[in-house]
Amino acid sequence: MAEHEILLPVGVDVEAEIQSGGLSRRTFVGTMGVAGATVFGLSMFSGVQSLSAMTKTPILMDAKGVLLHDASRCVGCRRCEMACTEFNDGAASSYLSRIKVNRNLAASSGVNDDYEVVADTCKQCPHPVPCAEACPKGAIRADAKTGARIVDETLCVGCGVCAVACPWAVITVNPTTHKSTKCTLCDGNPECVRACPTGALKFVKWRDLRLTTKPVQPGIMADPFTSAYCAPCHT
Amino acid sequence: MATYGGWTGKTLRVDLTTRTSTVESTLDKYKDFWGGTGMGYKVLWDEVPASTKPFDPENRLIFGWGPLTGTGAPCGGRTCITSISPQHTKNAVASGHMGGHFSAEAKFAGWDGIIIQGKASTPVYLAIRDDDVQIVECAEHSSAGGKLWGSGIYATTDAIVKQMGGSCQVAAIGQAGENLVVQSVIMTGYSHSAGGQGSIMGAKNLKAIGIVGTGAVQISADKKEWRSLIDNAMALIGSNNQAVVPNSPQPWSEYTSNARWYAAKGKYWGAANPPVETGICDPHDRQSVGLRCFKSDPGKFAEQFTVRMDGCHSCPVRCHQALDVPTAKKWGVKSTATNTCTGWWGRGVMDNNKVIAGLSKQEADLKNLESYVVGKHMTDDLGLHNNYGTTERGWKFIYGTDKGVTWIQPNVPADEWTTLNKAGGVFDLYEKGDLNFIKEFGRLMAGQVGELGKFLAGSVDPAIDAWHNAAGDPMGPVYRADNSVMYWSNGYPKHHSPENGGDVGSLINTGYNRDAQNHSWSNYLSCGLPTEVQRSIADYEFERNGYPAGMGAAIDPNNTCSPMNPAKARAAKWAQARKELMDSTGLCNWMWPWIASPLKERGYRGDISLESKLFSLATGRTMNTLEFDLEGERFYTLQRALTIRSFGSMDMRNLHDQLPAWALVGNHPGKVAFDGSNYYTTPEDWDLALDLYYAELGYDKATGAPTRATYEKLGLKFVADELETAHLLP
Repeated sequence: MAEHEILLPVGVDVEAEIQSGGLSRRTFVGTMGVAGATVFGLSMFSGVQSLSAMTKTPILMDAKGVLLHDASRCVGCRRCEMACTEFNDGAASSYLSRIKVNRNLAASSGVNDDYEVVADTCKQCPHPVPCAEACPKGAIRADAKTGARIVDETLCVGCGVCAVACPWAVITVNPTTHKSTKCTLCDGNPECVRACPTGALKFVKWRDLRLTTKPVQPGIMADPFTSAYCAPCHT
Repeated sequence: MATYGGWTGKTLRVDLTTRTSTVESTLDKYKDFWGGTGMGYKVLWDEVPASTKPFDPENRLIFGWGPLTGTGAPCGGRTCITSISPQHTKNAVASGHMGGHFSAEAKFAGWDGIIIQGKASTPVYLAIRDDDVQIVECAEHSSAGGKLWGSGIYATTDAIVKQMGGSCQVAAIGQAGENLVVQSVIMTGYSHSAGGQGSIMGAKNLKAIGIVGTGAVQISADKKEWRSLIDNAMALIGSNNQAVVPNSPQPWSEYTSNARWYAAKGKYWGAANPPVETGICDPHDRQSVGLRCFKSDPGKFAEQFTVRMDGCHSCPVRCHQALDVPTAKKWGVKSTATNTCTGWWGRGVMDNNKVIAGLSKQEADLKNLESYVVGKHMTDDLGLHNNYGTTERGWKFIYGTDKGVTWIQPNVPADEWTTLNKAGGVFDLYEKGDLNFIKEFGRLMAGQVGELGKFLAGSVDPAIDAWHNAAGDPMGPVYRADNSVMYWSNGYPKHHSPENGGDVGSLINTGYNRDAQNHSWSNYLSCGLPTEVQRSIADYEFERNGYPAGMGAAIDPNNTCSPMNPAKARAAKWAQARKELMDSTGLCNWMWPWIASPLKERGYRGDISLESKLFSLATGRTMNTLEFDLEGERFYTLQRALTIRSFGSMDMRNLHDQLPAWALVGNHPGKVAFDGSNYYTTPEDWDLALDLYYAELGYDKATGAPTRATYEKLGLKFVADELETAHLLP
């Protein structure tokens, strides 16, 4: 198998967590709904350069902070979505918002009927960062000040792999600019947190929220123990 | 043509007869009649002759919002639906209003409005995904309830969301609208209803509109400038209905009141996980704005059953209460229910004494709360409208103290009377305080079952004029004069009328063809500030914005009336212009405008230029407050012209603008007008009120019809020309 061809669902990528005893395999895999490892084809990456030609393995240091959403206080007003897009992009859009509430509203008062509104937020994942790892252009890096995983628009080609890679589907490719857009933590002063009228959003010291937040799609992630891409550190 | 922000620039027109849709340029066609109601009135004026009936295919149903819809302008989630009214005796123009998230999604899909015309040959729904518009056969889809056409609103919404995805917003009718029940709604988001028009959708065979949008609403101004203005608005906002004084003593407030700011230490959304304390809510704490309101219509007992508060897009105030009452399931409904105010209406048809008879306090509290849940589900799923309380009050009137012998029995056939009275029948359930009465009542009304069902379902005036007592005396005059029914005119009730501002409130309620749905003035009277503070703020704030001095003299505290004066005429005119503007910008008139704020350091002053600033920055079409209010005056006067055209008479003074008998002091023995103990007025004072109000608006004194000069000043020359040829111009 070519070195860049082995990509597995993120359920397998926390093998290290399982090995260290931090998580029971059955719990996590059960949550994912994945019975075992699955190999995805790579035809979509036919344009990717050989990984050995990449300048750096994207190992991103942990972010300093992360958004924490408290569903018990969320009232579904979506002012967070408006603040995110109006104050960053000059236009209001739920679709482009880097905090995603709209798509969960119907579940709150219709299908689930429990009135719990879940806002999907960027976990500012620790290494291996699914979106950064998946980006064929290495366009997702850690911001020097906040550690937020941010898109370098000079490198981004709008291919959308990052959006598919993110297990929480919080990345959107802007159909107008053709650039990926994701949470930047607004340079350390998140607009959504400031805008929230009930304190449902907090900006806290980074903590790993991946395991406590159910993914919404499989995502894509290299297996560190079989991918030559990860081999420099993971042999 | 300049490029503006705010508006998308595209309005959708759907012809259900030909099953085609076209795109119109919003600002080419509706630049001076935008909205919302501005556009709604213009479409009706241009396209719907006065002879058109509400259920005719040629009637238009205009879903509108505004340039601020979908943005972070606070409290901007409204949809305004304009058409000719099936409730009104002369089928005059009226609008329904619903909140939720429908209009925001429509803006994201790229639409400034949706004009529906024609009638589909078979039941359909619209599926709009950005600029892709499909007219979909209902028969091709089912819901949890079975067929889509025939399903309630909940199952319909679920089915369309399942089809179109989790971001989809749906506006739908229930069985009531399908059955052409006049007292029916169009509803979005399971609890936000627009009253009085469900049957128009039903008549067009249009079951629902589902909409998904992936676009953006452009803000014209620089990002930082917009952010600064939003910050300014969020600094000045109060609680629900412009409450700026808390309902219980708080360390930050020198006043307390009975205004709708209920948060306090020890008051929890008790069913949240974990419970959420609403707390002190200092007005400078932006992260507590959404905790302030906590309006618990069922009372304190419901607090422990509150999961959270809810409401419309971009609104931080959250006036809906989301309850979870597990014991409600025994009545065959979901335990979770959210709504506000008269949205909880189904329970109102019960006699509460009968509901709680023989129960301990705890049992009574719980059953009372269950009645809210049952009532909401009955009405919101069937899609019934309560005509702002008329249905409930009307029911109690006809049932009376003799179980319907006087007013129901003479008007129903003998076999129906027997059925109504049988054991386990609807009267028996009512007498027993059995909450199944609510469901049976809804079934009769939504299905127009029997003569009673038709009476409840239909337009009020024909119904009450057709019914009579056993001696043949018509019900109408008795019903209209009854102090408990609180009928206003032309089939609609009071809604913030003399009880909120005396003559100002009455002028506001009289100005439309349904209950006014206008809170521009009543909110301020109920904001919680002492009357003298309100007067001085009004004096300052209006004069600062270019209005004549002395607006404070327009204020009558709630439940009082003092003699008419010129300031009151100005206040009524301003309140109506602002309501049109809220209905046309997309902002919520249950919140805006903000004459007051909760900030002591500002002397509690709000800022009535905020809406014009938000409008100017979002669109790039700059207007100061007076220019902005003139737009609203144009829309309101066009509404007046439409009314005159529907009436076929310009004598609005006598045919449209008269008070109900119960508003006049002479019908209340022992009461004296203007003594501060009541809100009644005298015929002479009302004549003066109309004189001053017409003068303020530029309407003819004798008739209350706009003059040519007024029409032309407002850019409505085409209206004056048409009315002149019809001899409807003074």
